[in-house]
Amino acid sequence: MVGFIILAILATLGAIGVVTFRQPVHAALSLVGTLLTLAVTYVTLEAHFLGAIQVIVYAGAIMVLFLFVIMLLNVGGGPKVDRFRALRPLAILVGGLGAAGIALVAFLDARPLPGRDVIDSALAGGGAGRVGDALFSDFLFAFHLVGVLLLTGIIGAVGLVQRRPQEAQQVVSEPTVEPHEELTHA
Amino acid sequence: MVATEYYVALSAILFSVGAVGFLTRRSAIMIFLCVELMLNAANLALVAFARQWSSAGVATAMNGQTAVFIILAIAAAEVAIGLGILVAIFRHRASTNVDTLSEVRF
Amino acid sequence: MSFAASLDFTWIALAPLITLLLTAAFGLFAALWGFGSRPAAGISLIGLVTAGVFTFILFQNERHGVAGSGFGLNYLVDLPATAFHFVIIVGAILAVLISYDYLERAGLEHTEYYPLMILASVGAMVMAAAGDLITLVLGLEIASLAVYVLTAWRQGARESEEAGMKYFLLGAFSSAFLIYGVALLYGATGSFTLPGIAAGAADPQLGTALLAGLGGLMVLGGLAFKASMAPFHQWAPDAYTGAPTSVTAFMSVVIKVGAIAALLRVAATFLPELSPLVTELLVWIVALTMIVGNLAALAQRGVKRMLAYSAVAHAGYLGLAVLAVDGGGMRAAAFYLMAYALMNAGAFAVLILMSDRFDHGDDLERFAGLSRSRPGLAAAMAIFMLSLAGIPPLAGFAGKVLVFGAALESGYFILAVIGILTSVVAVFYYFRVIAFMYFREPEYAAPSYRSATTGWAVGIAAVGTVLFGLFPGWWYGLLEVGAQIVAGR
Repeated sequence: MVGFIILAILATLGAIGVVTFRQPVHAALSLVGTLLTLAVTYVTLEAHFLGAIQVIVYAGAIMVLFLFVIMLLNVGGGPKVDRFRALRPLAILVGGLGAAGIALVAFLDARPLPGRDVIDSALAGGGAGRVGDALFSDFLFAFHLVGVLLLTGIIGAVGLVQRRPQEAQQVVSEPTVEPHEELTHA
Repeated sequence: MVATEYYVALSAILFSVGAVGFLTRRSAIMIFLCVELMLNAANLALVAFARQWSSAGVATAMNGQTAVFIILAIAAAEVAIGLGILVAIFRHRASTNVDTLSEVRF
Repeated sequence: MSFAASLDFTWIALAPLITLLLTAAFGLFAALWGFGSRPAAGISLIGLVTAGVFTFILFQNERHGVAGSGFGLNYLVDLPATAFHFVIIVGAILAVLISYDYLERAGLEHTEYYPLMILASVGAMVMAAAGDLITLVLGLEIASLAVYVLTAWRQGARESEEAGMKYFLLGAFSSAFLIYGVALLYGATGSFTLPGIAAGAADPQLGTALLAGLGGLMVLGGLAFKASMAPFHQWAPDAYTGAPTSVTAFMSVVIKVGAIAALLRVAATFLPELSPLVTELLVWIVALTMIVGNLAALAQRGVKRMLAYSAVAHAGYLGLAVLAVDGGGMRAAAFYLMAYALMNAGAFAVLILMSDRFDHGDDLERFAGLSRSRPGLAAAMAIFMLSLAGIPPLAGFAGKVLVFGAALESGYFILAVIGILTSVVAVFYYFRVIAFMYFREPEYAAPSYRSATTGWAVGIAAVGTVLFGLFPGWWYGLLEVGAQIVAGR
């Protein structure tokens, strides 16, 4: 329980950092902290393979992509005033109530945890073998679809970013209006 | 062992913090980071529930963990597209502040 | 399920999907080998028609009681699924026809356009046939990611970029809710399959009714977002207005079919097993959608934005069919969606012929006097407007009758009344377009742009709208008999 509390506090602090740091780099690094904490949490939940994947793919690849884009676009800290400043306490209140609600439901519907031996025999530590078994039986179709999804992601990203520069130049200026249509819509 | 509901409560906190961040941050990239946080909260809940469902056998329990694997791939594809849109738009602009995109009304 | 059992798929059940994936690949290769993106349109059309033929074969199989499925029960090729697939393919064909000349004129011809459209159709088809929530989420993501990109296709133009960014961020937000809902449903029932969740939610022994209800709420919210139902519709007007018009035509049809089909499947399986509060919430969403969509459309001067809000309103009518899924809502929705695909895509096609190459000039005044300068175009637009308004004997009328009938049969009397009242409001803003076309003196030079393929799309859509209105029994009757494995049980 002590371990869980430490992990929970770390993860929550990281999450709060994500939404409060003004510098995007700080927020992204804060998220990396939460993701690493979650990886440890997965290990405590008998999901060793997912813990490793979380570090390698999420904290590694995906967050590096984020940091790369932050650097590429040279995103600085935003202005002090946030969107909907007046509504901010309301958003926090609603968020707090939402979290409390979900947690309350989880506690009301709590069931006793199965015994250690049951967990060990079912999950076997959540190794790659067990995940692979499930992936190529119940999730075989989903596995194929993930291929399609990643293909869509690649094609879409390339289609967006790989344009000739002069074309971007041409459209950045205000759209020209055809001669007989000098009025644009109101 | 810590009971499942504590993990679900933690995931609920992370999810809500992400949602609040989504509603209050103004930079597109920050909003996107908050979405990632929400997806991770869902993953944490799935892993916790997977351990709980050990009682129903190998297949039921492992399905929960495998779903996390799939959602990881979904998040990766989403990041590729999202950052692609960001780069495409903001290459020629100074900030990723969504308000400079005029009224992004929610 | 063991590995061997998961390999029991029937190839014919997957033929439309595989055809479309190959089509997307060939479209990309055609560009890679230096043919440019215009042949990709032809390839896409051939692929879509082939997939349509396969779907029709499957549809006939279903009607004769051969229920197919691929990959166990993850991909259900039942009668509703094939019907929705057919609508998706029709919508995609119209969108490709609309895009062909439009892209060249707007300077948006890039290789990836048609493959992305095809992939989005694949995603929507997967949504319509999903037998478990993971497959559903994956289909939704495939369709959404492709459409986010297409929405932002016109780079440098503020509206398109804003639309793409906003659509993406809100879409990702709603996906997160959907995925969290899936996680909670798994926690409550130990299953991702629709029948498994239904069985788990109906089992009082588990004692997880609250968890299941909360999960169901979140899944419902995520899907309602994709179907652009109020109060999750805010993205729709901006995304529909900002996107290139050919993309608007595509997404207002294809994504909506996928989302409504998924909602229907959820409503037919585990929704009734959850807490009655969830269904109650859906009732409120549907009522709000019909009211908000129609009243907001009333206030618009731009026809594109008006059509965007009208798409929200139609999502409300389709939501009525979702609620009435036990009283023939599935059939009614399949008919309504076919009518909606034809008349909506047709209306956007007319809009393309009306506006300039940056999609400007879609306000009502532009339509003044159209009946004299372009009588054919005006007549087609009049047909689409009348059909959208639900005037007999057009397809939209038959669809509305079926949907309201199903709602009444399922006991949603008040909702049906709201639907009919809001339809009366809708008549006003659709007729305003017709009034401008036929009873106003022109204020601007007549639109001079002509395009053969867009003209075909308008023609096909107009003929379809009239025929489905005159002979509604044909398509509706086809949907009547056959193997039903909606639930996957």
